[in-house]
Amino acid sequence: MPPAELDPATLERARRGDRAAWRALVERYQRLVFATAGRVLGPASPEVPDVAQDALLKALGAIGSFDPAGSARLSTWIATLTVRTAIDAARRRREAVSLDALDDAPDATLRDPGEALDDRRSRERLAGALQRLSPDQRAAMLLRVEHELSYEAIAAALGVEVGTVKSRLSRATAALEAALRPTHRPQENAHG
Amino acid sequence: MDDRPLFAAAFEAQGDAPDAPPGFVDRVMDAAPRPVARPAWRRPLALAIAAVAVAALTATLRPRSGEVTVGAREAARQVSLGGRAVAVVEPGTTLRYRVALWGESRVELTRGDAFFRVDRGGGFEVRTPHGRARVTGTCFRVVDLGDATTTSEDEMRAKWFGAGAISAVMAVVVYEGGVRVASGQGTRAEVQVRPGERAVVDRGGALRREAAGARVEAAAVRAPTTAAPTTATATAPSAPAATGGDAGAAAEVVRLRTILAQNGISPETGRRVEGARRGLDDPGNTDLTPDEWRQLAGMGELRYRVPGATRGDTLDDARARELGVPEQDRAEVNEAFRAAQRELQSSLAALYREAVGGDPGNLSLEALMNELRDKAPDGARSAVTWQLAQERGALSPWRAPSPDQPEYERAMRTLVGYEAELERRLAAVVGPRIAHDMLHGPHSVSAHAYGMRGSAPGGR
Repeated sequence: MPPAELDPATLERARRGDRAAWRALVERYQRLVFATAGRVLGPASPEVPDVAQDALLKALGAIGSFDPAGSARLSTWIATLTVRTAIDAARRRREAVSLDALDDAPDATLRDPGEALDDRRSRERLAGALQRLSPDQRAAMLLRVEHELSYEAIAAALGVEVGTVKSRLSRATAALEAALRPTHRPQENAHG
Repeated sequence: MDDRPLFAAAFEAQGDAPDAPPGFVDRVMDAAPRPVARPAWRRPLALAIAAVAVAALTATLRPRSGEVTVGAREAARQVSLGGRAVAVVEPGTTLRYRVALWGESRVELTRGDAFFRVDRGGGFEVRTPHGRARVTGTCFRVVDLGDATTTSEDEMRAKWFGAGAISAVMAVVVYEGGVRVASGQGTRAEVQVRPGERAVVDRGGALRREAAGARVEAAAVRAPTTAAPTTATATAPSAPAATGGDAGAAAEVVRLRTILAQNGISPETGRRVEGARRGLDDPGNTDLTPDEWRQLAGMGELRYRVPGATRGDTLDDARARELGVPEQDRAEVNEAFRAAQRELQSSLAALYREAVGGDPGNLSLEALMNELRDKAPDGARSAVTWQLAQERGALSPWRAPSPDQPEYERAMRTLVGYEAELERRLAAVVGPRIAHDMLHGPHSVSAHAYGMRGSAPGGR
């Protein structure tokens, strides 16, 4: 859940470069930024603290261009900056390795046929499926569910076509549903 | 159907998101720039100037990335890091880098020893498993000894810290400028290290700053890894005064400046001299001579690039002007580019269908390659890499992709041949010189560079 927004007076002081107001902004949104970076990169990613710091520094550097009268809330604006920073970090990691080392394909072995699903297991599968999605897909999901952005707004935030957003979300949905789909036990087991 | 409940459930299943550690706000505020108050009327003008400057610089300041590994038995290598920095990478070292002439640059040194000469610009950070060194323009050396306690690491440890320093795992020695060193990857201890000093990180994460003793300098100043001819040394820019107060640091600076000059990089600006050639040591460079390709083949190393693979990079107006592409040819150039990309995607998708049997949908090139790679038998990938390196080095006749080859091999042949095919098509529109500049010149379109090393079948 996004935090309560910064009050207008402090925001205006931050836009003018007041360091005390900057500190208030960082204190207010640090949790959001960490959570967002963690959702995109994975909660255990060691890059989360640095991405969070980079994102907040970018936010401070660009806060003068944020329009308080515009349609975006400050939290959404900061979350979008964080998402972009996290995706850049994920891409940097990928660009530096060879194709042989890349692995962003959905894991076909995720499902475990013949084993009954229970709540705990389905949660594990769902979390596993989420972790196997690409940072781009998780970013689109996050903006959609946490910040309730439209496809068009997500596309603008991520700098991609609307069709790409729909495709990423559709593939994410398919992967998550596949993880949850009940599988049939073998015949002899089904009849005890 | 509303997909949001499913997404929310997935995030919830993932558990709590990480929270900011104590002291995080201070860390951000320490790194935040000091704001400069400007009269309100100047802001639009400043923004306009900044926008023009950014547009003009974007083409030349795109980050460059790569990976360098120097085996324990190989000689040290000098590597240009995106025109902003030079690293002398010692044996037994692996580093990855993503360097921007302005903006954040990062080097990951997973283990080993490297010397860096960094020109002024945006933040430049070297990370190791045990700490981070952050600079804005300086000469310094980073060594990470790893956690294992093998004989060679003990020897290195003794060389750097003395035989009794059994817990030291990382050191940063500064020759020029200043370096901020932090232990670990979080927000633990941090010190500012000046010329003539070193920071040492112990296995437990403890960080200390101390004078760089004679032992360290003796380790740092070794024979140049590429023998510098007397004339080259004589014509290299003179060394600055020994800022660290000893001859060892000055000698190292001379060595670095000589290397810079030999690599066609201005020691003063840290940028490539116009017209200077990028060499074999730049892992993102595929504009190599036949002899250089042969050298790579001898090591079983395959290198290739896929221009515009992820962003569909084509020629915008600004870059077209920089490259001298006539206006009437721009649309045709872009169409040639897009057609080549479509065909590459289509070729890999067809191979995916053969190998996997399903519909590839909108899978990216990388995702397609991952799937094809996973279907390749163990050992086959390394053999394909080795064979393609031999063919690229003209040590074996080049073979085009053909149906008698396994899908992974065909895919790799398609990718390795893609850049040359693209250049041929572009040359048909704008001529060979502009086509070459478009892919290899200072205003080239973005490309992903890949490097991998293979083994000969049967261990030849």
